[in-house]
Amino acid sequence: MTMGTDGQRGTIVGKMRRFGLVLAAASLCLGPLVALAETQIYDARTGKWVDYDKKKARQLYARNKQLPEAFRRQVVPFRTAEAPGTIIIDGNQHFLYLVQPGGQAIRYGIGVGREGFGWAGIVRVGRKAENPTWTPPPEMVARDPNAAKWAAGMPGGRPDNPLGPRALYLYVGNSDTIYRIHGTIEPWTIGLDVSSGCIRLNNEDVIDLYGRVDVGAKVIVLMQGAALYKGV
Amino acid sequence: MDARGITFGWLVLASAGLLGGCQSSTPAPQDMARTSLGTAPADLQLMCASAAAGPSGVDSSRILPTSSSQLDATNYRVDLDAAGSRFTCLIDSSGSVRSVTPATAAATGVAPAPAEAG
Repeated sequence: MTMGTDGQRGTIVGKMRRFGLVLAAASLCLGPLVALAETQIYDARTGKWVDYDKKKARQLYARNKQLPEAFRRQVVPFRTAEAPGTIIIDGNQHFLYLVQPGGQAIRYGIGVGREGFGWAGIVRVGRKAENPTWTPPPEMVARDPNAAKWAAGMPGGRPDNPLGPRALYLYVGNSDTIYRIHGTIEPWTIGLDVSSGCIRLNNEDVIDLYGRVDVGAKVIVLMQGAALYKGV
Repeated sequence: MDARGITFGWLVLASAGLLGGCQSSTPAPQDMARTSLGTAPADLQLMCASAAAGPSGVDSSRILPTSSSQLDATNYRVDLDAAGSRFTCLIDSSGSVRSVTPATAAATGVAPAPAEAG
């Protein structure tokens, strides 16, 4: 549900179809190898670790009106040789790190690809967009009448636009991977495996990240056992 | 300091100790999520990727961690894809790389070669 293009649909569709075949093949081959992780969060109210699934996430978000503490934006220690400005995505732990100087990173909670839609690789931010247009992929148009309404693209800025207020488009070389880092209209899904391969942040976080990241920034996506999308 | 002062001082210390005890069982905000996978922290995985550049002869920008697991309280294993070749890295939680070996050597129990970068 989160894949999208912004204009250039004619040229992108062909690439999407080709990549879709590769991805489908990779999913068939590697899907069973993707380890199913069970996420738990610490409930400070009860002092217990609790399973974090869609139902629990929705429940907690309705109760607290914010994400669990672990998935909120925060500065954490991060030892790396990667340059400041590099984005590192830990798909298994549902964190996106933006490397900062001095052995630190800004950590954001994320939602990632559901089973069969996870991927790993080294890519880069090819371009950025404010209020991006969302164009559902052809497969979604075929199966979802609501998406079909927007086959030609849902304008950015609408409250129901699944990409939210900002998008970073991930490229390999000069080619669009069809994956994006973007906002969401379902903030409770942060911390879950829910997307079609895109990386989603809550809207405040994606606006913050957008302002800190330059086009060209390196993006490393770590995902245990997922299909490799190698680039750079 | 009189007896009341000393008693008060001990009470303060005892309270601080109790509070400290309570706080130590509550994870820090950054540690309030976990998964059953037990993967290595992302920074350790990338340190392994950097360390594998020497042994693999592949630029570290083309080395990607593909999976990882916790071996014991302080050690992790990280599997790496170095431009198609597989390597295994052992690293501890302090970030010290113990070894980087071709994956087949690790799988067959061959003694690991020392890492060339840490």
